[in-house]
Amino acid sequence: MTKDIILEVLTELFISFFDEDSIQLKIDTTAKDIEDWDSLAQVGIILSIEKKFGIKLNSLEVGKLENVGAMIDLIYEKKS
Amino acid sequence: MSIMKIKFPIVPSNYVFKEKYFLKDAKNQPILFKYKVKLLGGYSQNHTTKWLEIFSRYNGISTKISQSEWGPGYYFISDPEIFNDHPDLFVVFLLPQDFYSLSRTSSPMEDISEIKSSIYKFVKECEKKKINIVFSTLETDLVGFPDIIKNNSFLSFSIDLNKILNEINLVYKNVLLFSISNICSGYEFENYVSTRDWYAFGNPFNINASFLIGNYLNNHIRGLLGLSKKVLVTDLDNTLWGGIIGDDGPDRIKIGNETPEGRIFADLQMYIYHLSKRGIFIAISSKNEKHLALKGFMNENSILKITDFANVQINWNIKSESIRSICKFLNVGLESVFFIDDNPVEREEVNTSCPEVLIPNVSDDPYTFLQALKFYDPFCIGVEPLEEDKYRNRSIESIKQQTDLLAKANSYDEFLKNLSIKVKIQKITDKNFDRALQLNNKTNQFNFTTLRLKQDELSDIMNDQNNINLTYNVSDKFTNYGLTGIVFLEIGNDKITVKNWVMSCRVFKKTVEIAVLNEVVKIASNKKILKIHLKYISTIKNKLLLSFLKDNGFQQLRQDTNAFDFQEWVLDLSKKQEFKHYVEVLS
Repeated sequence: MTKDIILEVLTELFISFFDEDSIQLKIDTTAKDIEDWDSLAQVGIILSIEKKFGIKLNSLEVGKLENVGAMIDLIYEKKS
Repeated sequence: MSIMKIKFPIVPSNYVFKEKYFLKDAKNQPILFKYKVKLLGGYSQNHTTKWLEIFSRYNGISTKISQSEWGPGYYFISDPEIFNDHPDLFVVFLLPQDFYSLSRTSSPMEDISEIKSSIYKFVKECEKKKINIVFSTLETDLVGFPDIIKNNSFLSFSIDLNKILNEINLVYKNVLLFSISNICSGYEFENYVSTRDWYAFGNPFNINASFLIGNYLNNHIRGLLGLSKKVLVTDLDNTLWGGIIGDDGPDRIKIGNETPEGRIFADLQMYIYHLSKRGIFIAISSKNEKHLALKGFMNENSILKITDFANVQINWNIKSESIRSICKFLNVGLESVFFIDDNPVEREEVNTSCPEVLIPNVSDDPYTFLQALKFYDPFCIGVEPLEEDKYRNRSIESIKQQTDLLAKANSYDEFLKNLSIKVKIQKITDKNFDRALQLNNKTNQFNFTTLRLKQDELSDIMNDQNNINLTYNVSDKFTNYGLTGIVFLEIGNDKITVKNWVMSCRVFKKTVEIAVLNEVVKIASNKKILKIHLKYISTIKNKLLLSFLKDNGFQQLRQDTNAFDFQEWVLDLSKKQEFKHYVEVLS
């Protein structure tokens, strides 16, 4: 799975999660760029990522996911 | 009222990541009620809050939910400020992580006597203020914190605390206990607690559990607002038992311990039995031959008996019609109905015609019926039924009382004597005309000719001054059955002829027919007539009449070759004949 594909899947996941079709993710997208992306949503996003990609993140890993780029890197690392 | 579309078996992870979508969808519902809930403790309960909001909005309840700050529930119950926004309901989370002491004391667990007194104080205050409370009971510590000291372990602490909660639960009507592990059991997901979710997010249980707890709390609120359903309508084949009664017969349907399917249906029947005990109406809507279908309840493992049901619609009508008939009989609205049926086509038909009825979208696994009953909790089990609710089920009760009376009696005769059966004889009049017509045309079993009458034909009979036509109403100490019999008599010079006689099966086996025969004999005696003739056309369904005739001294006049011809039977009154019955006849 390439990082580009991960970004694509992640975008779909965000669109479904926020129920908002207009979302376009970039490497540097952060919580500030998406209106409903608060700490509650962050938990949901992490759990959705785990389900979608079939990976499990530990307590320390989930603390590092500040932007979309960090998410992609971690997913890429876990999947390879 | 449309409801969140749920498919059984429930896979919570199909829903939990779509909070935003479902909240938007739920907000399309009109608001009928407003309700205030305050969560105390439970650390991060944001997902529980969201799901409670979603489920209650789907039910027309706008729930305003506030949360205490981060921390253990028992801290907050002593804080007088929690009463400031006048909640209708407190939800108090008591969790394993609450009670490990974080100070340098010799005991690893908090002091239970202090906790006990603050819980009692809180409950009494809520009782005074008419606020309901739900407490979570203390569960196994699934975060997995290792025990520190054997004789002051978490296990012994939790047993003691749950004992205190149970005492309170039994004494205070405004208190309900809930078990998080029980709410989460019976669904397909691994564990409802994750060590990672606790340490990383402060979620003492996972998002699947929050979804189920939000649903559970909504069900309790529905109960507190009196929004419980009143009727469970059920199909029979593959819904109350495995298999098709018409094909398999009563001994081969699956119910009871012998098969996996049978065990599930037994559990389902037991649940439904207890619903009926609670005053919930249970009713049947089944497309079947009634006499065959009823045999399903004669299977020795059947927990439900036909007498448990308040109304039975076994016929070939479309099911939405049957459900409307049930509602009419029970005098309840369609929105009070919960309907279970294994057949998706039947469910769709009812859903289209009666969208008010709640119908779970179950699979072919019968366990999903139980899961749907658990998830929707349509009858709001957490709220004690009122006395009125329990008495509502009069039709079930009267049959049950009869069964009890029969069980207590030494003989069937004694049972009948105690039943105080009364028969009131009247002529056919304009008032009872419609019912008389219906009875004549619908009755198959106790019907000597099964000759149907049109309205004008019955009208002619009613107005015929030369003959005598009787209707009779039957009642006993439990029930008034209404007009349940008609006799058409032709009065001749030396004989009375019973041209037809019809009686409802609801009053069989009560010696009513013998009392009525006795009345006919009296009419004959008054006219000094010594012979009663009777016309009989034998059909497949009215065979029981043959033994009635023989038992009461009738002789067949001539043997006809064709079975479907009139037979003529005669009772000779010059021979002494005793008609023993237990009926008081009023006229």
